[in-house]
Amino acid sequence: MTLPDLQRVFWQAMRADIPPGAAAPEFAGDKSLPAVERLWIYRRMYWARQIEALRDCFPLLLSRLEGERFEALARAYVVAHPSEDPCIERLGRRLPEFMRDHPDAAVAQLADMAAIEWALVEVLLMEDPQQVARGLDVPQEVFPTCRIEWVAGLRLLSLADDPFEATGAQVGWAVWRRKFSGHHRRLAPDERRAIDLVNAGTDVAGVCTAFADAPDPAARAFAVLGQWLNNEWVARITVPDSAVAA
Amino acid sequence: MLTRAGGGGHGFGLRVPHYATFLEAGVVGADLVEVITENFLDRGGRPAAVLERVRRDVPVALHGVSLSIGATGPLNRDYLHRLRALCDRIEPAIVSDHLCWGSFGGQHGHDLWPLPFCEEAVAHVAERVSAAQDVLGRQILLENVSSYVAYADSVLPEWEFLGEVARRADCGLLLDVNNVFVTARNHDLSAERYIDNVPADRVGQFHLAGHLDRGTFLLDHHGSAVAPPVWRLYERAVARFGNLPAIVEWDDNVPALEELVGEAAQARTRAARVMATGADSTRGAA
Repeated sequence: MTLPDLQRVFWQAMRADIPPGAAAPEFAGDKSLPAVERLWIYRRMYWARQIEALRDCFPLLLSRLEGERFEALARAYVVAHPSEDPCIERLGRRLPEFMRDHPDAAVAQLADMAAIEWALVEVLLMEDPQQVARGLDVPQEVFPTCRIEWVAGLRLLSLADDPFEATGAQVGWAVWRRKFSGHHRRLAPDERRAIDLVNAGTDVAGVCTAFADAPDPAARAFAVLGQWLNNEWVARITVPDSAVAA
Repeated sequence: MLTRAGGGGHGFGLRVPHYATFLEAGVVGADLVEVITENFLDRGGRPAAVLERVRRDVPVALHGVSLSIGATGPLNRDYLHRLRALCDRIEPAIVSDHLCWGSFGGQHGHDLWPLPFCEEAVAHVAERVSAAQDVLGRQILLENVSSYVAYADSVLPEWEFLGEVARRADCGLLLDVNNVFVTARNHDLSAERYIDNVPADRVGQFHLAGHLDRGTFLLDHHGSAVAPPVWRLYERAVARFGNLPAIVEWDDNVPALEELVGEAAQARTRAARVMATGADSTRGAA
């Protein structure tokens, strides 16, 4: 058998596409430990390692599903989506999406929680942002015409419902890293509207229209913007060329 | 010809439970520290901060687990370029991975699977190692892996396979002494004969670790102290290859840092004793 053929047979025996017994003739063992038993050692380690990696990345999901159901989900997921990255932490990239279509409604309901946990993994694995805005370092008169740019590490999710406190309505969720730790929180409806406006490239004056229904719109807008800066969500506040020229 | 890392020394693998200590107090009890490459590729935050802190204090060895140099799919050049960028940033004393395969069809098993010891595998791996070294712009060391199964097609002794790959690719070998012990037991070989036959001019580093006796086989679990027979084998290796950089690995049930420091100190003491008493006196002791 050629090297590629040997590796295909071994891989299939690990992935459970074929039983280790079918691959055993290509391998050597002895009386105390026949080849098939030796292949089983590798196969058990393969699955244990994949499942452990998912456990590490989805601790809340693990606590909700408990041992056996989590393991069944993890196995089904790894069958459908084998690891495609040299870093095993990235194995769970498609688990939230996989869960949304899961036939077990209880599992599908937890897809949003898994999405938050995966976003936490992603922000913790990211490189440090090259730039973080620390304050409103622009002239007051041009501030309304400025635009806000997020740091690459900010994840803004749209969830079917609050996975921790059901409301029956869609919610926005932010996930970010500040220094060494990951954070997440639900977005208030007006804050979510403001974020959508930022993402659409609207200037600060336009973004502030999201807070028009607040008792004190200006105070609310500054409070939210202050929180964004404090949480290190903002990479920079850019002054438009027209304002610089003026 | 192998260019050995200067400085040598004894240390241990950096693991997550000790990040906080290293960030606060820096490195203690190690002449060099080894890190798992994949845990630091393109990373910011705490991993990047701890790696920079460690690098300020001691030389760093980058030890990969996912190069999959023996796989038959295309060499992962993206991975190699990311590794090159990390090397450029932290200037490691040693860059290593494993002489094995762990991926198929672009999918990763995240395990260290053995290769058949035959001419086809030697030629295949040597060509890929040369290509990897070209991308990295430096020599790498390849580690012998623990194995639980052999291939019916293997025709070479493992040490000959290691030596031939290293010679053709002009790379070095990271001799994991615990892996030699585990593999020898699992395949009813002589660990001493293995050590005595690895080409001396190719070995650039040692690994030490614990293993678990599962009755019918030994499992390389990195979850306990180095076993007495592995220490004796290490002394034999030092006698043959010299007082090379040595790293104690501990991945499961990671102990308090003091215990790791103690294991590294024991490696240092044993190596010094061997070097002081001369190689020949330890040959028959293992």
